Amino acid sequence: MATREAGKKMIMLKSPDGMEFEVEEAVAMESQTIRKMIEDDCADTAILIPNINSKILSRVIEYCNKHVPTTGATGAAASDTVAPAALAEDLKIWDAEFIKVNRATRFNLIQAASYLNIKGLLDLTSQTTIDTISDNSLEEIRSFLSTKNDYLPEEEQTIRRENQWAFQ
Amino acid sequence: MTGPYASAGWSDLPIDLLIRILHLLELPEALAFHAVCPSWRSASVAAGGAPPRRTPWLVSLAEEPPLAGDQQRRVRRRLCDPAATSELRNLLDAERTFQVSFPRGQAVACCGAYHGWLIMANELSDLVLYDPFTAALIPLPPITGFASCIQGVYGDEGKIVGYRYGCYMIERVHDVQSLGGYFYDKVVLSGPPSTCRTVALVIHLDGKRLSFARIGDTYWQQVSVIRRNGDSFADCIYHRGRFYAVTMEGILKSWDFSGSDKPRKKTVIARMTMTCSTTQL
Repeated sequence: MATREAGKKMIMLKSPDGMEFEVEEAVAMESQTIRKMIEDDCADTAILIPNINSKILSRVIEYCNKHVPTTGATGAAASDTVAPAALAEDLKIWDAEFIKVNRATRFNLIQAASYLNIKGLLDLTSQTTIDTISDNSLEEIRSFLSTKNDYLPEEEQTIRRENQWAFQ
Repeated sequence: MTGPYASAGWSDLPIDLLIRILHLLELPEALAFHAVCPSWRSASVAAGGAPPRRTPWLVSLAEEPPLAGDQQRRVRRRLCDPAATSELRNLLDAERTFQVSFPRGQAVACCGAYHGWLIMANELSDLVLYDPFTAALIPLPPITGFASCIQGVYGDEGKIVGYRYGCYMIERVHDVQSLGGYFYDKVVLSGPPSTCRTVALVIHLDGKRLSFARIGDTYWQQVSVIRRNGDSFADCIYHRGRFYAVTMEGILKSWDFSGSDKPRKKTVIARMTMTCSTTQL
């Protein structure tokens, strides 16, 4: 399967802090946003990815590299002999490790996944956010997410009355 | 809060992302989501409130603790008692209960339910739709909107003090609160009450009449009356664009409200079924 073709098309991705990442077109096209740019011929030399710093962009590329369909993805050659089910399981474990990052990084990843429209990464980051919400009380969610509880005391009272469920 | 990418931004996630997350949540986590902060709340409102219920919920009156010093005697409260609380439990996790108090005066009798909405008669015997998850309350037309069979009785100050209502040819004045407990037999909705096209259909007057109103209407319109002794409407459902009502004698009729204001009637089963006839022979 994974026959590496010579002269595989490469794409240059640039982060706003000046870093450049050369990736295979297939990997970049895991992002629907980039795919659309390439298909519309808007991506001749390099694509500037606004709002996503190099640290996050490199993680996103790492994710795409792992998830790109087997042919050609660097490092995926080993999957030739592995059954699809085992491969999916392997990916799941990899995802679980991948998302073990601090809150700030996870927050940046969910935003990047949204902007670049990478469904798998969006699902993964959304799900970890949900796990946080599901397992904690409202106060814990507030402190964990460091969300600004901007409610005035009387608003808080109204919220509590309207959402008696959330406070049980 | 350290570094340029501190997590303060969780409040500022784009609304489409927040809605995406919200749609993956089960109740009551979705309600906690609603209460976290103003921006999450607005996402929840934009998504149309609580997400669709996936699993059924049961509602019952909460059991009161036994009276002090007397383990045998328990206080039994009625739904209309302001001190009564109700218990909701999800069938997925029936051990976990949620205590919910209905808004004062709005829950005197329960007349039906639709996808998380409870249809209740309030202390004026008017019907209201109440969502116990979001505490949203939507009134249906008042009981005086059944103009063909109910008249309001007003006191000196213009305040309503009772309802004149005739059943079986005997007309008398009923007190304001209790009539709702027996006037309505069943209420069915055609869809979520968020749209004004949604129809509420009521079997009332001891199963003799069928009336409807759309959300936002001020009065009820009569759909059908059974004048014959011995028969009455037994049940009513909404299915694929039509309401179906069956009578005790097995007559089945349907109404389609999708067109103009007047519903289109269709008789599905016109006469008593064979089984009924056979038993009479």
